[in-house]
Amino acid sequence: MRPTEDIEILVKKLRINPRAEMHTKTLNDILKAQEKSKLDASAVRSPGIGRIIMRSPITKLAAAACVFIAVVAGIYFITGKTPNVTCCAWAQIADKVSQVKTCVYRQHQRRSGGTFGQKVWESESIIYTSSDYGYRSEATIDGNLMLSYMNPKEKVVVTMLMSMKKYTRAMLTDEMADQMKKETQDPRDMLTKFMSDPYKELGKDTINGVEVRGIEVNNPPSVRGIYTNYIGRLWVDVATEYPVRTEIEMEIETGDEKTNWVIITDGYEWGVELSPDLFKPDIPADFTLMAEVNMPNRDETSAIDGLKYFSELTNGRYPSSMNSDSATQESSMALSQSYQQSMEQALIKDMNLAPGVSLSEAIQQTVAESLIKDMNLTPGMSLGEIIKQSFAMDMNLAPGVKPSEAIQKELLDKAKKNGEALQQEIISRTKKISEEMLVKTKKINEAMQQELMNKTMQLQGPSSFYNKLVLDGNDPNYYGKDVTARDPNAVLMTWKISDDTYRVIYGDLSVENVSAEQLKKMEQ
Amino acid sequence: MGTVHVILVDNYPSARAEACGFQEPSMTEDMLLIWRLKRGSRRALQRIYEKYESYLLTVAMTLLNDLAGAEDVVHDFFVSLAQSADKLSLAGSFKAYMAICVANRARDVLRKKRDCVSVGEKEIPGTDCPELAAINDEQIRTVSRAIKELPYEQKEVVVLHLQGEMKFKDIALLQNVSLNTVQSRYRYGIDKLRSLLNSELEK
Repeated sequence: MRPTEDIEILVKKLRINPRAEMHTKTLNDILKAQEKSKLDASAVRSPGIGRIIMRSPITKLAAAACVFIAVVAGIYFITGKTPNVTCCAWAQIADKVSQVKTCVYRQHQRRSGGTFGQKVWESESIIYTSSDYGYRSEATIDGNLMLSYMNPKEKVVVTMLMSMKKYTRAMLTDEMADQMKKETQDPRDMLTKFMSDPYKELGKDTINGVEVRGIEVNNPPSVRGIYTNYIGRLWVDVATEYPVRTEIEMEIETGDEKTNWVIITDGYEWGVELSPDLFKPDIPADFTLMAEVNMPNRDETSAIDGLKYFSELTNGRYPSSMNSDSATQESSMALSQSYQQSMEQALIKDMNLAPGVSLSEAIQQTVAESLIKDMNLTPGMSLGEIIKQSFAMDMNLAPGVKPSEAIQKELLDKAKKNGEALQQEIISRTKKISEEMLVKTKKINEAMQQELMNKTMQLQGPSSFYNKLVLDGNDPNYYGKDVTARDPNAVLMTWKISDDTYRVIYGDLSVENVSAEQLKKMEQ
Repeated sequence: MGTVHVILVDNYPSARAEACGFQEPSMTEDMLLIWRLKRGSRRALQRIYEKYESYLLTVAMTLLNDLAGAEDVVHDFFVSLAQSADKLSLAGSFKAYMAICVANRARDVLRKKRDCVSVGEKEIPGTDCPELAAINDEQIRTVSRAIKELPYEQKEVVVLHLQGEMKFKDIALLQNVSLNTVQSRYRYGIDKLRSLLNSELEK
């Protein structure tokens, strides 16, 4: 008897090839249909009422900013010291891979827990890298398509957010462009670094019918202070000696929370011919520039500047970790709260709504005031009081008169009817104000986007500098989880600047050089 | 090194990605195609058609057992897609979405056909239609013949699950029945296929 699996495989294998004449006819028909529908298409569509909701554009923008930063921050994906691969066989592989000028690969990322709560964040990307032309990524992040281009010669990263029809330009510093040119998302560099860490052999296995052999790194020195519980595996094709798959599992600590992060990279194709056009941003004419920002310098000044701003936004706190992903999340959260407040206040001012209250309260008050005026009611009444008052007025009878049951019922019906009409009126007036608000929100949003992106970049300064220190082997340490601006003398961050000297940033963001002995005493 | 010849269609990565030998067409490629299609790209439409024509024809053909009917269904589906691409809004897999559309159209065709069959010709079960003869692999041809013998509901579940890669719960929504019913239909369908194939082997 045939096993079920065999039957399932046979059904899956079924394939009917189209007849040539039918293929051509259908293709012609559908292309004609497309042309016709383009002519018939209405040019303008009105926005959905759901988009009136104030939170929506802010959330989208904040999310877009995070996504953008996450991509740019991807340069810190794996850091490490200069590769020093000693094992013969693996050294050959590292050498072979480093000679390749182009690579295309597929990457699946999954994050869960910690700051993501119950949500699972997933992205799938196809990434193209070329030593000559740069880097291109086509990613779906939580179902949204995003294209990114990095051109080290022009020192710019362009990111297109397709659903929003927006794009951003991030200008790189010279140092960053040089580094990106060398290693941005480039698996060649990533793999040699992988092999430069202490690793253990995993022996042979099979992936998609290909015989592979692998190595595993476990919490290597190059990720210390950035990721925890880090396990990385690299699988190489036994026959070609090219890598076919990498698997990375790690945790990111954000405050007391831990986010799990899994990155699977496969579908590698080495040394493939890639057109230069693939690396040129093809920005559609109807896309608008969301923001043009300068990436922060990776130096002490930018780090302190970012820490200062973060502490201003969060009432004296500092980012709990210098992991770029965690710092991005914390910064975005702080920034979007501050941004939402600024946005609400700008809107209340712009629309002459009642000041000093939340936006929803301001809308309710405005609707109440317009009803008080039209219905000649006592000023200062709330919407709830207006509804009650209206009902009482409808039921009001001359003093001392006891209405019959029939009249009571008639009055009650009338009051109910009037109450429903009043509610409809309230809804209609609220909707009108909300629609006006949508138009104003869009304008304010546009005006604030640039500033928001600049601030986001400013907040990247500390983690960017920290990662550079790790990369350069300066042995940095960071204590933002426990130290706040209210601990002026506490050590917030340290790094080595020579054999016996350390640089220290304190809780009040003052800086000084101390000897190794002094630092030891301070840290006790 | 670099033996794969890359076909770049209007900066399109999907042809490239297939050339790279990815096991599954990625969601990313489809999303990019849909995005361009919605913006009226002729090349995107052509690419989608060329990428999925054979797959959808197989789904339609398996459900209808009639090549001309299956070609009509696929033709009409793509024309409709071309006409209303700007309204396309997908929450899940594009491939599964297309399989559902084609299955719905196939069901309509069969309904109309049933209305006519009482006065028209009768199908002779077990005979090969010419298009099946065109399938080279004898084993697959045998499976195709066996699928033809399944009741329509079972056939739809088997085809949508195995060919369309749809989850049972999504098929349950499509067929407007419970998850258990869909799972039972699948089990009965596979059991019947097994029994039909075994009896073929014994001949």
